[in-house]
Amino acid sequence: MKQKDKVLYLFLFVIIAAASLASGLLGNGGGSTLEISSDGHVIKSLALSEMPSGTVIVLREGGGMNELLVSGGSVRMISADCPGGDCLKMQPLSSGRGVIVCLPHKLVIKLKGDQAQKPDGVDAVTY
Amino acid sequence: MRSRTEKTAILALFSALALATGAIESLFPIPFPGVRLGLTNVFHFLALLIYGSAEAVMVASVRLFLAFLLTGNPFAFACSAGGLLCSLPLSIFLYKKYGDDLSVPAISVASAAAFNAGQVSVVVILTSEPSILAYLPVIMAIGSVTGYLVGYIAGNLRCRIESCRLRRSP
Amino acid sequence: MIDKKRTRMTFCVFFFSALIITGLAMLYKDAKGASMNTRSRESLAMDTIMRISIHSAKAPEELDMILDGAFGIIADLDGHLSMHMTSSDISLVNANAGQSPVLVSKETASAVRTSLAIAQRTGGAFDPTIGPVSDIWKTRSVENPRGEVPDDAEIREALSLVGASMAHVSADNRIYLEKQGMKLDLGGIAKGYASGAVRDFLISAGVESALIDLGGNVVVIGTAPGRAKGDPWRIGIQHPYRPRGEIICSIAANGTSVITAGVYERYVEIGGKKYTHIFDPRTGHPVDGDLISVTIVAEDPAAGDALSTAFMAIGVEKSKKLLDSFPGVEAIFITKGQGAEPDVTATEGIKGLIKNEAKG
Repeated sequence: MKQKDKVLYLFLFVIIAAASLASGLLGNGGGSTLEISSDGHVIKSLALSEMPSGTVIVLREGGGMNELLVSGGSVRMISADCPGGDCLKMQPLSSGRGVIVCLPHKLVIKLKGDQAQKPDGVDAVTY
Repeated sequence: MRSRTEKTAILALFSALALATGAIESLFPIPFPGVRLGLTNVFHFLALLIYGSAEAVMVASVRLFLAFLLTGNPFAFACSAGGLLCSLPLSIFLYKKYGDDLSVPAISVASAAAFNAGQVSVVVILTSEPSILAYLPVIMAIGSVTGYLVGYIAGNLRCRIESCRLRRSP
Repeated sequence: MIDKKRTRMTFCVFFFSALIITGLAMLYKDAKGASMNTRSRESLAMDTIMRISIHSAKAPEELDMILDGAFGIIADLDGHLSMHMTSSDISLVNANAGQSPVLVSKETASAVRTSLAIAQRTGGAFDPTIGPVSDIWKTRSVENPRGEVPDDAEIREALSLVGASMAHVSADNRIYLEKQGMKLDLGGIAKGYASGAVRDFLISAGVESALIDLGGNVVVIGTAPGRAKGDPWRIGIQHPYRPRGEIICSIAANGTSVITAGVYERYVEIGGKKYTHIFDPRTGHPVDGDLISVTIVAEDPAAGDALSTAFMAIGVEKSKKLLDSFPGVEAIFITKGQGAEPDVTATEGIKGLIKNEAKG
């Protein structure tokens, strides 16, 4: 039965392909800068290389507390006082990819390749 | 021909099984908030196949609310609700309208994609972080596999349940 | 049964193609910089802050080693070109002025050759033998607690020892200054030369993207991290009246060097008048005019550094004419304006690349 299966699969395939191309173009790639945003605003931008293994980052955002552990170039959530604690179950950020989201505290933690840019948008100043 | 009692019992069983599967699934690590294997969806999908849209909605919402009551996690609830809001109408529509042209796993794959889309939308809205959308394709690709699995299991279960029922009531 | 099989087949085909596409998208991201590493380091050398930031797909450890190499090059060049270190090539050449040629490293020879060539091409507006003039100003005004301006006789005497034609670099890297008391001062080219050497080293080490900022001498390689391939870097030009780091405009730079000479950078105040550290080798006096700074955009940072200094002495109009003999070199002149803000003039070739600050 079901000759229209192919149509549906093809349709979905096109959607996923288009979406992945679009997201590839967005260039939301990872990297070595840990970017923490709360409610859509970047609150911290830290160079992973400057944090020794074992660094714990304590975040008090969105009325709660989260603790991130940096170890061997990867980052994971080690404690959170939210119901459910979904973020604790999320895969650690490493090799510059992935995202940790703590919905209750509106936290999004990801790795960005971009180093923190100067506020005026230039890479360097000649004088 | 089918007794109301039997239907009530089976739907209650489905909801309970969905809850249990959800509890087991929550033990596994997740790549993304609310993203799970999706095996809980087998049961409301099964309700759709055996009974109909109303029963599917019923099983889904009972599971949704009971899970919320049990875990007390409004965010997981919001994610699931957002996903269901997209996937349920789609699976009902596809099953009713194109049920003859589409196989059960295909319908399930489509609803899984819709579920993921709804879920990620909720996360984006809650965190005000549109860049999360970039993860949607990956999640959808994974969702297609689990969606197929769900559809396959649900289809098989339907055959078993119905043949068993036929044998019992001559 | 057959149908079921076909359904499964279709699904498999669909799924694997989706997987491949997603994988390709991931690879595409990688190629664009998803797995790129960035390493930055700052260090003090040549009396200024040296900052190098490299961005590459290489492992962080390897990038650290590349940075070690880059800063090693700077330290070596500092050791060769410094006027202050008594053991440097330049100090040895100066000590033997009027006596004998001195065998120097090939880097020193090359830096001096470049300087002498530019001295010749700018009619002496840049001169590496400016040493005696900068010395007299230094001892009389900067180091003298009373802060005086040297008198004309002193300046004339110093000027008699300045002249690129009296300095010689042989093919076997021996430098000879004709007159005793002559003094090479590569302050106007050392940082530019060093940034060029660092750039060549980074490129040969396979670094795809880098920002080299040696005390305001900025050289870029490749594309800025986080930007689409081929997008230029943006380099700000210091606002002459505002604190360090505040810019008057910015310029898009792609694989070039952006180097500025400005009167505000170092100066001494005597009797209410500001005397800058940039001297006109033709008059023996600090440059003094409407020109506040010159930014040179050029392929070769050593030439850019020397030209920016030369143009400060030459002035806007003559510099523009002189640029005709330097193809590919562009300049931005900042002059005292009518109002409170300075005027910015750029040569035709880069007008389109400049972005003025809205707040400016």
